[in-house]
Amino acid sequence: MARAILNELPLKRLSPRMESGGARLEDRLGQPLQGVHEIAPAAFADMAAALGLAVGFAQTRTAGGWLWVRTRRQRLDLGRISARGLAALGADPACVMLVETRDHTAALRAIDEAARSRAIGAVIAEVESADFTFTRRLTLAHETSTTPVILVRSWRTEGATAAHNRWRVAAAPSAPNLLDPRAPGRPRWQVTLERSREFAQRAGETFLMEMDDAPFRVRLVPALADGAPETRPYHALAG
Amino acid sequence: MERLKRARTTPWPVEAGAPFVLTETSLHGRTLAAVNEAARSLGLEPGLRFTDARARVPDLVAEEIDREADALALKRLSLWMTRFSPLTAMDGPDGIRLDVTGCAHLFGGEDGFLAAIKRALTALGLTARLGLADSAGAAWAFSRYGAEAIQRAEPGKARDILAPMPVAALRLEDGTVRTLRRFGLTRIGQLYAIERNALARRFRNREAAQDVLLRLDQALGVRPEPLIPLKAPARFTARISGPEPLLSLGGIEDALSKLLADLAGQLEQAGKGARRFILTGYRSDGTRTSTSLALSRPGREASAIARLFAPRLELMDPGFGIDLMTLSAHGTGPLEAIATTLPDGAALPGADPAETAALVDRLNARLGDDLVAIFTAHESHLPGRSEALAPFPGALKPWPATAHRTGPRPLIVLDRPEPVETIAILPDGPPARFTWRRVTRSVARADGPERIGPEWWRGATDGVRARDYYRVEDEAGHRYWLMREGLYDDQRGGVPRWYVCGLFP
Repeated sequence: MARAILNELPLKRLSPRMESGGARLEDRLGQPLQGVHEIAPAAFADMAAALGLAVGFAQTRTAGGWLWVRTRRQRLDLGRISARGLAALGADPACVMLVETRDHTAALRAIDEAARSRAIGAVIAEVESADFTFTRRLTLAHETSTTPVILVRSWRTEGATAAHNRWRVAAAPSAPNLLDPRAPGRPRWQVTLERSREFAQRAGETFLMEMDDAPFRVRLVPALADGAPETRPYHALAG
Repeated sequence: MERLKRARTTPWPVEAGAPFVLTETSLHGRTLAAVNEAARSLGLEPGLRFTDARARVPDLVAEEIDREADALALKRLSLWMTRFSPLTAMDGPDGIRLDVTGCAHLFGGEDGFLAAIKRALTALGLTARLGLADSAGAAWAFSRYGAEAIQRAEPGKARDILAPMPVAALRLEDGTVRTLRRFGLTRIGQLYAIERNALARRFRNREAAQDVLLRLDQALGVRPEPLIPLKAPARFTARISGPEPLLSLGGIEDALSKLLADLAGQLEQAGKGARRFILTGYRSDGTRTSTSLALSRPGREASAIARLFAPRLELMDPGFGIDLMTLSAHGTGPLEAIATTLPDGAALPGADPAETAALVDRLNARLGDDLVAIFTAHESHLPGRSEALAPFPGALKPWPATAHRTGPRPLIVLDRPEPVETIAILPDGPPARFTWRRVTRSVARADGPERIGPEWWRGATDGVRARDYYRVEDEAGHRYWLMREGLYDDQRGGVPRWYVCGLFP
């Protein structure tokens, strides 16, 4: 029954809000996050970069708490999410609700439940795998709830997805640090838009993105500015 | 008016027709602690020396009594007996006392009530003697010394039934009973005729005299004898018993919706909501099964609570059938509206606090209690101690502005620091290269150190080394939180070790 409904729906359809946006990708980064996004690291070592980009994307939502879903196994494999680490990216740790589930199935159920709720600002979920059906469920849920969902997936991720965008992230040398040239500066990532329903023409493009800190936003680094001196000093401090 | 019932159980294994005793080793050697019917008919009584008993009955089978297990079994049985009355207590090593005020009519009067208890206990393989009277004292006497296995007195009639019973039925000490017998007072009825002061004067021991009067008054219901229940009964409880035992999930669901409607009505009348609901099923084989639900804020909306309960009902195993179900509300409080702003006008994070709480309740109900957590800040310099997770408290609160600022912290903190091999180290500075998880990484840029000393005010810090934290970036752009434990000349151990503690985005 559910599958029949899924098959009848046109896959290209986007939520009304997303269609009316029509913004360029460059502008969309600054606007409140919408849609279902997948972020996959290029390699296991890029997982931190993938989570950083997820926080950066969710940052554009100013109202509502975030629900952060992960499995116990992910804590053991990767590590704990740090409140002060979140604060260092501009997020308010107090509005993050953390759910650490027993197993993968429970995590998927939690994501599904949260995606249907209008109560929260964003869902960030670390999932090992999510098949097409599940991502389709999420996009359908998003159409009614408009709650954005960010799935941070494993580096092995490939194949079809019903998510609006799939980003592939690799760490990149950080921006030059004005105060101390030997110290790391603002975090930068090499981000490829691997698949996109929203910006179908731009799929495959690679961007250099930077986590700005005044205000905290992900922004594109203009190609020419790469390596140019920073104009504002970067203070790597946590809340 | 207080109506009480006692049940005495004899839960030892009975071998058909053969004498069997349980013994106890006391100061005076091995004595009988309990005997079965066959042994009793041979003249064996509790308190007899085991050697004497063996002399009378050479093929006597005996076993050591396990008082702890008996007490545990009695407690379990007492808990199960709450199906008959919420006010249930254990009474001595072998009795259960129930305050059945207002309960009997559920079973068709007192006779039906006693018959139901007898049936239930017989089904469990227990021999029980029941007594029901206006007072706890009289009920005790009925169950121990009553002529029938089920002895009941109409209101006000206990006095007459007690009269021919021996004075020991008043729960008196052996010495006092002996004294009374010396006076020629062997039956309770004889005490009625004697004036109280005269009775008290006969005893040399004042306490014994007071005891006799107290017990007599308690038996006659003149002086109160409150019951301290095993479990405080919930103020808001709904119960339902069907004509047939429930065996299916559908049956339990139906019962729950009826219970919820009842309970919600009770709560509404009191103007309250509850944070915790406990659903208990009493199986017909004398066991219980229960499941509970916790809300993040007091609530009473029946349909919402039923939805939250739904995933938990699978955990209720009906076994051979549930014949009684109760739903109780705990942690009751007023239904409060959540403040959306703080007193000083600052807005709280969270789009809709009520909906957020509802979402958390749904997640907790489906996936496990207290699964949804929030970050809490703690006063500490140590990275591991300065923050923790706590169960969602009902609403999001702002991050404390007083939380002290720290140096840069990574988004991901490894569960435990992982040691790394380092190459080309300066005494004060990060390594030029390090090997972590079998990959060698060249440090391109680094920032630090941030030195964090042990917190000496928390106790002994001897041998605890200061830690220097560095934020380093390798040539590929991966950023790490490196830590060196100890300094090169701190004389607190050998060569300092390096660890990866976390990952920056």
